[in-house]
Amino acid sequence: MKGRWTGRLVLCLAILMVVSLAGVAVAREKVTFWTSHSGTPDRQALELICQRFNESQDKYEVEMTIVPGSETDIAKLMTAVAAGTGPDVYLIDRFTTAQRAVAGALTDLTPFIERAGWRPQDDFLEFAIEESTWSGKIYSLPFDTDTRGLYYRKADFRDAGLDPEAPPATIDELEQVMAKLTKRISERRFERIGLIPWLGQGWHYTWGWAFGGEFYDYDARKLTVNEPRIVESFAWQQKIAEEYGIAAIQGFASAFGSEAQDPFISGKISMIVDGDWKIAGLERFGPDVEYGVGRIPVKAGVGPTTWAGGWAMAVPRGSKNPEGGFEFARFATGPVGQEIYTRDTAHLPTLKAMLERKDLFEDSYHEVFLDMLPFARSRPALPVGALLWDELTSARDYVINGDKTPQQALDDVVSRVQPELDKNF
Amino acid sequence: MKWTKQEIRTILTGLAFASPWLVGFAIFTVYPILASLYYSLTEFTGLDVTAFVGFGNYIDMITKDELFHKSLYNTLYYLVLAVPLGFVVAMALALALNLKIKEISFYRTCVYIPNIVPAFASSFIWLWLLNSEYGLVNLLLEQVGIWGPAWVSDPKWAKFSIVLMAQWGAGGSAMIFLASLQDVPRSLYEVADLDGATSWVKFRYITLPMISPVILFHVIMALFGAFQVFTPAYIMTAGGPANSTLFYVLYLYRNAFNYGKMGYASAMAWLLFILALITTLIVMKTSARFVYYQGEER
Repeated sequence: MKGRWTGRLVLCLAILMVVSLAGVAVAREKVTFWTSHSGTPDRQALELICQRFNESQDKYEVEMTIVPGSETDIAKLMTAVAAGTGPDVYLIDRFTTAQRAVAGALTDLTPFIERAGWRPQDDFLEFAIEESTWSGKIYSLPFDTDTRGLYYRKADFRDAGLDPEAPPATIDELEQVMAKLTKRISERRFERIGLIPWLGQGWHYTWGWAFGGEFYDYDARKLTVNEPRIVESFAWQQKIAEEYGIAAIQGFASAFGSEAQDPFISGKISMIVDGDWKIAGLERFGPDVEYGVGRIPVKAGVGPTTWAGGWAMAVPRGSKNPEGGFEFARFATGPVGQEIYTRDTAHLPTLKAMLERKDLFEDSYHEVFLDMLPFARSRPALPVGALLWDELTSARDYVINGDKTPQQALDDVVSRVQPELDKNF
Repeated sequence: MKWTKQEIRTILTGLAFASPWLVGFAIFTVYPILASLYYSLTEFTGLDVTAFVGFGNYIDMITKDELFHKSLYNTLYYLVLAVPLGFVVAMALALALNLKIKEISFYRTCVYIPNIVPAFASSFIWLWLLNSEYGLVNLLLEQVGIWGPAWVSDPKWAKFSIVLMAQWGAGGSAMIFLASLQDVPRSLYEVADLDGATSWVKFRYITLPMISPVILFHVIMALFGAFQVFTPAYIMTAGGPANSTLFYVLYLYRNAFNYGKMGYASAMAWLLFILALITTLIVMKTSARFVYYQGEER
C-alpha cells in the first residue's frame, strides 16, 4: 500500500518536471514595455504594435504596461530604475533624451546599433535622430513626430470680410486679421478673440522661431534665448497682452475647456496655433466646423517655420533584457510600427521613407503638416531641456502679465539655465 | 543599577515582539532620512551621485535661486493666511454643530463629507466652481452685483483661491473641536450662568481655555499641512500663472523628478524640515502662556 503511494508521487513529480521543462523550451524571453500614453487611440495603436512584434518572431515576447507620467514627469520610471525594477523599453518625450541620458537613466544604444551594422541616420529625419543623440551617442530611437500650423475658422473670416482661403502669412497681417476678428461685448468682456498667441501650441519656441530667433549656439555651447529676435517675439506677445488687456483675456480664457468645449470648436477664438493632432479632435467634437490650416505667420523676411516634437523608444538603465528591448524599439520605430502608429493615431512618421505616404491619412489637412516637415525645427537637444522649457514658460508668463520686461525675463532664463548646462561639459 | 536576568528577558521579548515595526521603521523611515541628508550634500540625479558639493546646494538655494525665494514666499503667504482662517472657520463650524437641535447629526455628516473626497477630485471640482465665466462662485457673486475675478488664472488671485479652497476641508478639524467642546464640564457653564455671564464671556473664559490643548494640536498640524501644500497647485495650476502658485514642495518635486536634481531637492527638504521645526518650537514655547491643561494650577 505504502509502495503504491510512493510510486504515484514519483510519477506525478516526473510529469510535473517534464511539463515545466517543455514550458521553458517554448517560453520566449520577456520584454517589458512601459508607456504613459493611456488615451485613445494611442494606446490601442501601441498594443497593436506589440501584437505584431510578438507575431513576427519567436525569441522575444513583449508585454505593455501603462504607467503614470507625462512629457517631463517620469517619476515612476526614475524610482523604478533606482530600485532595479525598471522596464526594458520606455516611450519618452524625445527632446528629454539628452537629459535622461545625462541623469544615467538610459542605456547607450550605440553598441547595439553597431552590432546590427545599421546607420539610423540614413533612415530617420535629421532633426529626430539629433534629438535622440547626446555627445555622439544614440540613447533612443525616434518614434512619431508632429508639426504645428495655424488653424482658422473660415466662417469667421467671411463674417469679418476676410478671404477664407488666405490665412495671414506675416505677423503684420496676423495683427490686422486679429483686430478684425475680435468682437467685444463690453470694455472687459469678449465675445470672440481673433487669436490668443500663447494658447494651444503658441509656445515661446513657436514665436521665437517665427521671428527668426535661435535658442542655442551648438559651437559655443551657449544658450542664446536672450538674443534680439527672441526678445522681439516676447515683446510682441506683451504688446498683444496690453492691447487686449491681460486680465480680460485671462478671464475669457479661463472658461475654455477641451473636447466639445474647445474654444476653437465653440467659436470663442477664430484662430489658434496647434499641432496636427487637433485634426482628430475637430473631426470628433466639431465635425461641422469649417476650417482651414495655414503655416505659422512669420515676421517679414523670415522663411517658413514650424516646430516638431514627438516621442522615442529608449532602453532604461538596468534593463534585464536590453537586447530584447532594443529589438522591440527597433521594430516599433521601424516601417511596421510607424505605419500602424501613423495610420491609427494620425501622428507624423519620423522615417524618411514614409514622408510620401499620404495614403496613410484619411483627411486632406495632414498633407499641410507633412509638407512642413522638411523645414521643421526641433528644440535643442540639451540635458537641461525640461528646465529650459519651464523657465521659458515662466518668462513668457512674467512678460504677458507685465511683471518683467522681455529682455529682463530672458536674461534671467540664461542666468538660471546656463550654469546648469555648463555642468555637463 | 543592574538588570536582573528576568528583566533583560522581558526587554528582549518586548523588542522581539516590536521587531517587525522596528525593522520597518529603520528601513523605511530612518534610512531614507539619513540618506537624504547625505544626498543633500551632493549632486545626485536620482540614480548617480555625480559630485560631492558640501553645503553648495544650501548656499545656492539661499543666495542665488530666485525661484526658491519665490516658492518660499508663496508657501509662507499661504501659511499666514490659511492657518488662522482655517482655525476661525473650523471653530465656527464646531460651535454651530454643538447646538442642541434635533437634526444636528445630519449637519455634522454634511460638514464632514468633503473630507472624504480625495484632494485630487476636489481640486477638479473647485476648478469648475472657480471658473471665472461659468463658475458657480462668480455666478453667485454676480447676483449681488460683484464682478468676480479670474480666480485661478489671475496671478494676483491664484494663491488666495487656493487658501479659500483649503477651507473646504475644515470639517475634519471642526469634528475634533466639537469633541473637545463636548468635553468641557457642564458645571462650569452652570456656575457662570448663576453669575450672569454673557455667551461671549463664557466662550472667552471657559470654552477657549478648556479646549486650548486641542487648539494647540490643531495649529501645529495646520502649520505642517501648510508647509507641505502641494496637491491643489499641482493639479489646478501647475504652479502658474507666472509662478504665483509655485509652492515650496511643488518646486522641490520639480527639481527631483523633472530636472534630475535630486540632491538639490533633498537639500530643500532638509531646509523645510528645519523651518518647520523652528516654527513648531516657537509655537510650543509661546503656547505655555495660552494653553491650559486641566488640573493645572494658575
